[in-house]
Amino acid sequence: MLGSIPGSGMAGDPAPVAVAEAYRSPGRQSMRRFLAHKGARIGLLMLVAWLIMAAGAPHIAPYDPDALLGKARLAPSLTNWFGTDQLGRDVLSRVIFGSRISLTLGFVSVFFGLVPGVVLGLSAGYFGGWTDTLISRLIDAMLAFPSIILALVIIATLGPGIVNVMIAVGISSVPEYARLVRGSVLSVKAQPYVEAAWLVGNSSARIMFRHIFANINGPLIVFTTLQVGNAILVGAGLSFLGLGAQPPTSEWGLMSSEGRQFLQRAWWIAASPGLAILSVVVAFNLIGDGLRSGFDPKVRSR
Amino acid sequence: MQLYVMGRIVQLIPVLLLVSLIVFLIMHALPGDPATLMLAGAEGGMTSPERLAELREQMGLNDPLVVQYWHFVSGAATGDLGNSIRFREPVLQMILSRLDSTVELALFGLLCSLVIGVPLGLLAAARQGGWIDAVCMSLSYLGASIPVYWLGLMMIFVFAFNLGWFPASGGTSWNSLVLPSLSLGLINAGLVARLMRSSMIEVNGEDYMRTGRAKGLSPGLLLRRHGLKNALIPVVTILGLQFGNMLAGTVVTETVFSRPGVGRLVVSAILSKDYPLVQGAVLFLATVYVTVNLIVDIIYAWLDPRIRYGR
Repeated sequence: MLGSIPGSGMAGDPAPVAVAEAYRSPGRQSMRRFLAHKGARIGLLMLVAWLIMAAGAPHIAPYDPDALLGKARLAPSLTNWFGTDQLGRDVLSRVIFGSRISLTLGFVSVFFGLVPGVVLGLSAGYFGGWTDTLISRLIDAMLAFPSIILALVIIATLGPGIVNVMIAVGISSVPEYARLVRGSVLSVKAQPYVEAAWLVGNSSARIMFRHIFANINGPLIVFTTLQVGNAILVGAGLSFLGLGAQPPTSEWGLMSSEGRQFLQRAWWIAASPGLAILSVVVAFNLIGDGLRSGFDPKVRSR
Repeated sequence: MQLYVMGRIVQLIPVLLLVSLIVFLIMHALPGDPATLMLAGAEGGMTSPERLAELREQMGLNDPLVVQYWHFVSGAATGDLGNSIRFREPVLQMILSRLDSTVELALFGLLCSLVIGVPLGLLAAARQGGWIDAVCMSLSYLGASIPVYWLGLMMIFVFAFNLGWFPASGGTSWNSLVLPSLSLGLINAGLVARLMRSSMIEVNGEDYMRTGRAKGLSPGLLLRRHGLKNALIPVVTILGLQFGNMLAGTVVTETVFSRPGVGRLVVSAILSKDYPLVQGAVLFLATVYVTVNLIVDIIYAWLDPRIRYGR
């Protein structure tokens, strides 16, 4: 087993092109490929715009999102670009303030999925044996739930609320993270540098995080980016069902749900927040695909 | 083949046991006492300690967890998922009476995603880089980024309110099924199209396709006899996953279109804190999903003999 260390024959003949590329650090190469991706640049621009809007919401929004402007269900006009809602609040201002909740939801819930998922996946892949069997069975069983259903069970226990939605959406993505990380660990574990790190006397935890984790984070970053968008989507859906944010919060899913009764006469109440979600999630998907081509030189952008 | 099917069915048992354990543990181990939650929700916040103790006893919450789990699993195995607290009816009956509507919606949604996705993917593969390819790519991006409920609302606005072609909600006739299944199908069609496209492009590069072209088969015949059969295999493998997406989608879609289905039942059960109903319905949905995936695996093994003889 130990005699068959792979890779020893590969270092012999580096192609001239590879040498030229090697002078740039892998991180910078990935960055260049990422920025060369047209979709990724558009996505990045959209995301930055949304981040600015979320951060500067009080300065950017034309009105107070909770202020009653007097006239309810006003059609979009020059004074109220997205019209006013059923209570006479400015829809545009509410959409801008809603970005704070949705972006927070995206990042926080990804954290709740990423951390336990990575720990489980790393342990399963690195230790193998019964640890692996136990964790893998657990992952399989969790994957037996369509993900929104798993989120529903968790909300059923925690009770409705936007913070609970963040936790639920995050936890329901744990099995996917764990599966992804476990697979990558298995492919990296047999590499000579891991063995070398072990021989020099590093602890398991140090090998796992410094040596293995550092080499598998490419696919993880791609998945996480896509997952932020997905979490925003699922979270808004749960709020639409009444399980997340509660009135009078300006949350995108909730706003569409409130606008549903007035759809026939005042479509803009339900439509505007949906367009906002669409543009945010498309941004994350574009960035995710760009990152994928950045980390994986085999995927060439056209 | 029979041996393979038997083997797969036997493998299903531990998975289902684990699924039931997960549902059970989440419902019991996370913070939040079901009895307190229920009292707060169902009986207007009157949480006297005596009533709480009585309810805990009644629900068996004072038994050790292992005993409670045993009651849950042995009950579920014999088709007894307990009684709904709010409706005082057997949970299984409540689910079964709404299952038709949900399965109908999920199947038609799946059908829509295939009917739109497969031809689109084939056309995109045939004209790589053309405008159909661009449509295919955009559809897959939009499908992955549009909230299902929002697409449903917009379709109601356009096709029900403005054009009047289909009813906005309710109804039992076939045309009340069009908008919900179309909105579910459109969300997933992009994924199918993208997969179909890449699979077809790969198959087009295979030796047997070149042989077919070389011996002068007409493109249509080549596609039907050799190309499609092989290119469809990856699409078949994700049917189970797609069905899961549909099932998950019905939770939202049924609310948008006011359809009386299992998904809507779960949501209203959560909102009214009907804890046995949530537990039972979720276990039921997960079981359906796992079983459908098993059936897809079996179809896959039947389509591709390498699977069942391998290993």
